Parts: sequence; C-alpha cells; structure tokens
Amino acid sequence: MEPRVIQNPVLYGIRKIAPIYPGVIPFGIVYGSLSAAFGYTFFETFSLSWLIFAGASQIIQVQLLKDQVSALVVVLTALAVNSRMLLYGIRMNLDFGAESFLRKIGIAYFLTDQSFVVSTHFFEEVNATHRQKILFYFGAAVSMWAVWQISTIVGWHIGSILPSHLELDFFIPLTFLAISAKYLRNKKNRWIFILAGTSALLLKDIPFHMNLLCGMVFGVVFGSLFFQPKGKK
Amino acid sequence: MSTFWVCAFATAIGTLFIRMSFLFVKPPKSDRIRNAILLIGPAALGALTFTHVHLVKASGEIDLPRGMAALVGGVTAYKTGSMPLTILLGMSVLWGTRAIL
Repeated sequence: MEPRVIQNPVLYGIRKIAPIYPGVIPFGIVYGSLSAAFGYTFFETFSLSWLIFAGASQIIQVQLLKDQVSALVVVLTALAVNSRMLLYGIRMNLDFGAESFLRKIGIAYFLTDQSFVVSTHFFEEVNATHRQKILFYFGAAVSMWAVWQISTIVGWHIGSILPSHLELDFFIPLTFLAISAKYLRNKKNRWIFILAGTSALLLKDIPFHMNLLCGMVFGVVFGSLFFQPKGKK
Repeated sequence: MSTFWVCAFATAIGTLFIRMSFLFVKPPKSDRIRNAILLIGPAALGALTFTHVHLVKASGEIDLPRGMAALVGGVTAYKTGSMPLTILLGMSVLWGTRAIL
C-alpha cells in the first residue's frame, strides 16, 4: 500500500481525479455559455449545476426547455440520460452499504462518471481501510463538483474562451485509458472492457445516451456468464 | 412555479434517487451476484472510454487523428501505467496528426 494513501486519502483522491479536470472544464464552459445564449439567468444556470450536477442532462434540459418541449418529456429525457448511475449505485453499495443515511445521500449526490471510475479503481487496486475509502471518495468527488460549478460559472460569464480546435475533451478518454491500464492486465476485465465499449459504440444512435447503460449491462452479463470463478458456474 | 423550476427540481430529485437507490439496499450475500457487481467497474470504463473517443464523426467518417491518439494512449497506458505520459503522448498524437492530415 502506498504510504500517501494512509497519510491523506482526501488529497490522494484529488490527485487521482485531477487529470480529468481539463476534460471537464470545457464541458462546463460549454454548458454555461449555451445557457447564457439561450437567455437563462445566472441564478437559473448555476442552480441546475448544483441541483442536478450531471452535465449531459443539464445541457439537454436547457435545450429542450428553450424548444418549449413539455415538462414531462424534459424530465424523463434527463432522467433517461442519467439512468446509467443505477449501475454505479449498485457497485458503490458494496463499499458504502453500511454508511449512515446522511452520508449515503452525500455519496449519491456527488456520484459522477469520473468519481465512480476513479474511486472503484482505487477500492479494487489498493488495500484501503473503510475510512480511507470514504475520504478518498469525497476528496475526488467534491473536488470534481467544485471544478464543475466554477467552470459553468465561467462559461456563463465569458462564453467559450477555450478554443475548440484544442479538443481538450480528449483528456477524458485518455485519463480513462490510463485508469484502465491495471484492469486490462486481467484477461476477464480486458474482455468485459472491450465488449462493453464496442457495444456502447455500436449502439451510439439509440436515444437518450442509453448506449452507455446497454454497453455496461452487456459487459456485466457477458462477464458473469463466461468468467465466473471456478466452481460457481 | 415556472416550467423551468418544476423541471429543475423534478430532475434533481429523480437523479438523486437514481444515484442513491441501491445504496439503501443491503449488500448481496451471494458470491455470484457480488462477482457480477464487481464487473461494473471495467464495463463502465469500457463504455465511457470508447464513447468519449468520438471515433466516428457526425458525417459517418472515421476520425483518424482521434483513433490514432486513442491507440497510442491505450498502448502507453498499458505498457507504462503512467497517466501523465498517456495524456502527453495521446494529446501530442492528436494535435500532431490533426496538423498533418
């Protein structure tokens, strides 16, 4: 176990999620500037960011509301986009199932793609204590929350300041690849990673970003059927 | 209350419920289910990584610079396990090939 993990899990969590910031900041700026362009006030824009705290569904929501789509469709569409988080909740339950009610609400509120990926990787690769896990999670997740809020505020005030030709969004898959490296040394995980990714890519045209959820489900079902530990089949 | 705020609060509550629903269920005792749940991590990484690469453009063409950058990033990550090096080489290949092609 790395000594730094024992000494300060909060800072370690921040350090591990920090490489993803450059990929998230332009996204936050895009949301903020889009919202301003559509005529939403600063208070409305910022409120969506802290109330919902899920980038893709926030962008979809301001777009659909601008197009005067019915409230029911707006809400259902946004929830469909966020439905993949059901799976994240199931996984987090293994490590945080015994937490207090209030702490569980906190864990759930800060749960994002980025904090999930970084944290579950940490839980599985490092032999951390329960306290270290919770501190690591909040360090990573709360810092991601802060970065998202700040970038949406900046986006609302000054619009798209980052040139799109830099393609800074590419930081996100590169960071995920680096996180995946240790997973991919295991044959089972490698197959699940490839199958889930390929399925999500092939299904990219289905509505509401449901391809992500479908890809993950395919990966898990495939892994459960073909890679159960010996004696469990 | 305006439609905006109705949607904002409904989506916020719904999203929080989605995020926390399974945190309130007791962890499964069955090894088979626990093993299946542990597979969510690599499956989520695969789905998120592949889709964030944006390999296929809206026009249906393959985005070669992004594909090459992802390949170099993947090999670097696999061989070195270094995040800074993966990002450095991946972004360099992306910008380099974009400038050339």
